[in-house]
Order: sequence, then structure tokens, then C-alpha cells
Amino acid sequence: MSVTQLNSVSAKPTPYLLESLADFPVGETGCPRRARMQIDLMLLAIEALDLSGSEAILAMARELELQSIIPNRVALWRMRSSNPLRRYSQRRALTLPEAKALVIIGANLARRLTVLIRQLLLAYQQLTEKQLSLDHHFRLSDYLERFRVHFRARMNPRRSAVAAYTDEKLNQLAMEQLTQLLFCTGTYGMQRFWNSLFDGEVA
Amino acid sequence: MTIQRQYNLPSCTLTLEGLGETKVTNPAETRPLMLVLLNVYCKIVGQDPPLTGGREFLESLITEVSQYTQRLLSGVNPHHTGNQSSLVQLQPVDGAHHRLKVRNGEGPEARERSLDLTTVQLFDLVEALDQMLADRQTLPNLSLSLQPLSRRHVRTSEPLVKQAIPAALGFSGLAAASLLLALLPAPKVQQPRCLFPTPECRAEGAKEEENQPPTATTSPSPSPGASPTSTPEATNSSPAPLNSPSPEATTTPANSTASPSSSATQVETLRQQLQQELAKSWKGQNVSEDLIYRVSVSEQGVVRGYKEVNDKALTNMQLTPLPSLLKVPQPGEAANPEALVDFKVVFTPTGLVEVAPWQQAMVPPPNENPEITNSDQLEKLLPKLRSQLRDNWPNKDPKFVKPLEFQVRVTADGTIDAYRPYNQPAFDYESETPLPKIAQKFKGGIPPTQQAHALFRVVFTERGTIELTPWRGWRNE
Repeated sequence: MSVTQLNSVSAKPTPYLLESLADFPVGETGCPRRARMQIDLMLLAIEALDLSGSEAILAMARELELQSIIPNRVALWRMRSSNPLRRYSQRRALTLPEAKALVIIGANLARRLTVLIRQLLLAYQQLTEKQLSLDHHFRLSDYLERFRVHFRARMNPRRSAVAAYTDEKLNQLAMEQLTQLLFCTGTYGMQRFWNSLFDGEVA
Repeated sequence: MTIQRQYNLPSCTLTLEGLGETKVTNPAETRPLMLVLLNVYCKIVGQDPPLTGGREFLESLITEVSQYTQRLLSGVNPHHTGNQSSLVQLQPVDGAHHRLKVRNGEGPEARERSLDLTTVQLFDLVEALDQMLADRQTLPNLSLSLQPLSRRHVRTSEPLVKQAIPAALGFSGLAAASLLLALLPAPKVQQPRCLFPTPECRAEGAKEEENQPPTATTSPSPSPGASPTSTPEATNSSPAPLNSPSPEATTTPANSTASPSSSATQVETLRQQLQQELAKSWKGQNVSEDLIYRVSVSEQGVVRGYKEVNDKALTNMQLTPLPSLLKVPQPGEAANPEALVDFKVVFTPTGLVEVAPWQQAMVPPPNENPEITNSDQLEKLLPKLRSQLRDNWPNKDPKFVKPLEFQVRVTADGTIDAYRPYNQPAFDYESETPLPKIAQKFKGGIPPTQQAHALFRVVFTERGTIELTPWRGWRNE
């Protein structure tokens, strides 16, 4: 009896919030490659939208009581560095609870930025309809530039997948991330995003 | 009793009409429960009239919109998308637009309506449906099923034979091409010779000329006032008969086509002739800067035309001997086009006339920029430069308050031979520095040189230190 008690004490309690996202069998290797990239890029887009984005990620982890999974900046960095495109990519698996925690934080931050995200997407649509360059919208070009700078600073330029990103392609990637963030703000958006990470990866 | 529910989003309004329980069972909820759906109206801003339908339409809309959105997020598409029998279908148009197709009715009289939604409109549609689904008081038996696409639906199911065809085609194509190419002889690569007019090339050109009768030769002695830009080695080392006693030759028919006359010796003779003629009457009167012309000379040495190259050359044209030397061909002669040689002629204010073949003058010297840019060599020069400056600058309390920046040229052995002030304080406090004592100053820019040299940026700081960096930075090549 005492043994079971000890075990239950030493095992960290799983935050109940994580139960809002479905469990998928991922095995020892952790989350699939695309999921690891996608989650990191989502957070990158948030940092490009919000100047204090990286601070906000940690603050949100505290707010949502996910500190047992993301205790500090280093832990966060190590998790995000499971993105294979990273300059200092860690050969470590991203576990399911970690991925869930990052997605929940990302979706919650996206909800706070809903107004801005909508504005930028509308501006993008108007500019492309009028065939104007994206520089005409200050806030949008600001976001795109920050996204590009963050991307270039953190991703490994020696990887052909990274080197293939021209400025134009990075803008496109930034807009895709913005769309993802918008869909994350919805009622079931977070769940849909979470499921999309495992598209084609489950039996 | 009829109940209406509305879900409002900026660009999409979803209205449901249905029947429900009259009595409210849940005390926390004031709205009655809607159990049976009668009509759905889905209004998207800018797209009239609203989409309408019944339960089948709503269910189809929910499934298709949700699945499409998930595909949009993941970028993973199943190998057969959508159910053809479904009432609602969504397809991507481009990155920012999505085409929603709604079929009304069944069979041959079915009408299809298609709307193009922007991403934001699609999101509002998704969100309206999600809010409706999340609403426990509206159609609680409708539910959203969210799950990832199965691996089986993503994997391609092309038969192996079909997959092998492109590969086989590729291999056979490669084999056929290599067979054909093997039949072709390997081309010989010939190094181009005489890209630039070096003495050897001239000699070669002259040898080729020997087969033809000399077209125009005169016998001038080398002019005493030979210009500094002319290349003396051309006259000295050229083995062609410079002073051949042949009389003033007439233009041969072979050369009389307007092809540019190119024999090196001939050009050199013409150059000297022109130079002498112009130098006779040029004393450099009343001009402040170089007058540069492009002068065309016939094979007899007659000036047939000239054109100014810089502005001063245009305004001071009458001061030069050129107008008096110009002989425009007579109308009768013009029928026989002659070969012309172009020269670059420079009248300097000091009374000199420089004449050089136009092509040679305009082609940059072939070999190499004599500037040293190699980091290793620069590193060796740097201490020599530093000691020269240090020794001559006592480093007592400088009078200037801003750093003085100079461009300094150093010869290959490390001697400073030219400099140029590069910022305003450098102009003003130049005399404070050792540079005027040890090197020549060029205000407008250091003129090019054929000697090996290196350029450095020298900064005398107001704290009394000297900073040295290579002008073009450190390069490792």
C-alpha cells in the first residue's frame, strides 16, 4: 500500500487542462516531425505579432498552471528546439504533454491577439486584391519583417529546407501561420489545430 | 413552438429555426431547448441571398467545413477529398480564397451554387457552426467529430506498375541521350589568344599583316614630346617594319571597306603622327582641366572627325587645333568608304597632348588590379604603416575633437606614398597629422597606379590613438 502511495506522490499530477486535447499513440519518439515544426512556428508567429511574445509564453504557462511542464525559459527553449529546422536543434523527443501544453498556451495567446490577427488577414486580402505590395500596411509589413528576422535568426541556414525560404516564401509562411492562429482562436479551434498536427500520422 | 437561434460573427450570420420543448428543464438556462431543426439560413457578408437548407444541409456543412479547415491547417490532403454525394463541398482557390459549393435538390434539376470565401469569412463560418455546436440548448444531438486523418487515407494507393512507368521512362531517356551524345566528337577547347593588346599580340597581328601589302606607312621619328600615356614598348618591341621606305600608300581596295583598321604598327604610326601634329599648336592656353576627344583618323593620317568626351572639351573646342585639321571627305570620295582609326586625345592644361588608341584606352588594363587585398599581405604592411605614422606623430594632446579619417596608399614595401582626407575634420586638421610631411596629398581622390599598392583607412582619434584598417576590409581569398 505504501508503495503505491509513494508512486502517486512522486509522479507529477497532469494538469487537467491537458485533457481538453485528445491523446494519440506517439510512442518513444514523441510527437511527429511536422507537429514539432508546426508548434514552434506557431509560437514564432506569436512572437512576431507581440513584442513581448516570449515573455508572454512563460507568463501564460504560469497563468494556466502548466509550470509542472514548462518550469522555466530553458525548458521552453529545449522543447521548441525539438523543431528539426532549428539552428541548435535538440535530438530530443517532444512528449505529448509538452506538445499539448505548448498548443494550449499558443491558442490562448492567439485568442488575446484575435483583433490584430483579423486585421492583418483582412489587410493582406485587400492588398492582394488591389495588387499592392504588402509594405502598404505598416502593421502587416512589420509582422512579416519580424517573422522573417526571427526565422532567419533561429533556423539553421545550412538545412536545405531553411535555405529554400526566400523572403517571399517566408512571407507566405508567415501568412499561413497567421491563418493557423486565427483558426486557433475559435471555439473548437485549438482542438482542430491539435488534431491537424497528427493528420496522416495515426493509424 | 418555434424557436430561433442566431449566431453572429462579423462576416457570417447563422440562423436556425426549429421546434423545441416549451418548458425549461434546466434552471440555470432561460432559453428553451431546440430539438428539431426546420430551417437554416447562413448569410455571408457580400454573398446574397443566404444559403438555406434543412438538417441534411446543416450536417453536410458542418462536416465539410470542419474537415476542410483541418486540411487547411495541416496541409495534409487525403488522396480522395470530399464525398461527391455530399451537399456541400469546399475547395481551395488560392492561398487566401476557398470555394464553397452547395447543391440544391437532387437529380437532374439540381442547382449548384458556388461562393468564394476569404480566409476570414471561412473562419467566421467555422466559428458560427462551432458556437452552435457548443451550444447545449441547440440541437444537443448534433456533435462535432474531430480526429486526425488516418495514415491509410493519406498514403498513395497507386499500383506499383503505375509508379514504375515514370522511372522507366526516365532511365530509358537517359540511356538514349547518352548513346547519342557518345556519337558526337568531343569539342576541342581552344584558349582565346590576344584578348587584350599586349606587345606579343601586336607582334602576332603584325605577322598576319605581312601577307598583305602594307596599306599605310610613314616614317616618323619617335616624337620627343611622346605622351606619358602612350605605351612605348609597343614601338620598341614590335618586329614589324616601322620605318619601311614604302611611299605614301593609297588605300587598297582590300582595306577600304569600313572595317576598323587594326594593324598594330599602322595604328602606332598614326598615333605618333597625330600626336606630333596636335602637339605643335597646343600650349594649354586658358583651360583649367583636361579636354578629352575621340578623334577618327583615316589611314593617311587625315583627321576625319572628332567628338568631345567631356563638357570642357565641348566649350573649348575652338582653342584646340582639331577644327583646323579636320578634312571632311569630298562628296565624290565619300563613295569610297575608308578605314578609320579612333584615338583618345587628351589636351592637358600643362600643354601636353596625350594620344592613345581608343580601344586600348577604353579597355581597362588587362592584368589585374595592382591593389593588394590579400589579408596576409595586408597584415604584413600594417605594422610598417603604423610605425611610420607613430614615429612622426608625437601624440601630444591633439587639438582636434573629432576623429580625422584618411585614405592612405601604401606601396608594396610599406612606404606611404599618397593620401586623401576623407572627412571634414581631416581636411581642417590635416597639418596636425604626420601625413603632409611623408606623403603626397590628393584632394579629389588618389589616382590609379600600375604599381602594387594597398589602401588603408587611417583614423587619428581625438584621444591620440591611430586606428588602421584595410580600406576594403579583411578578405580571405
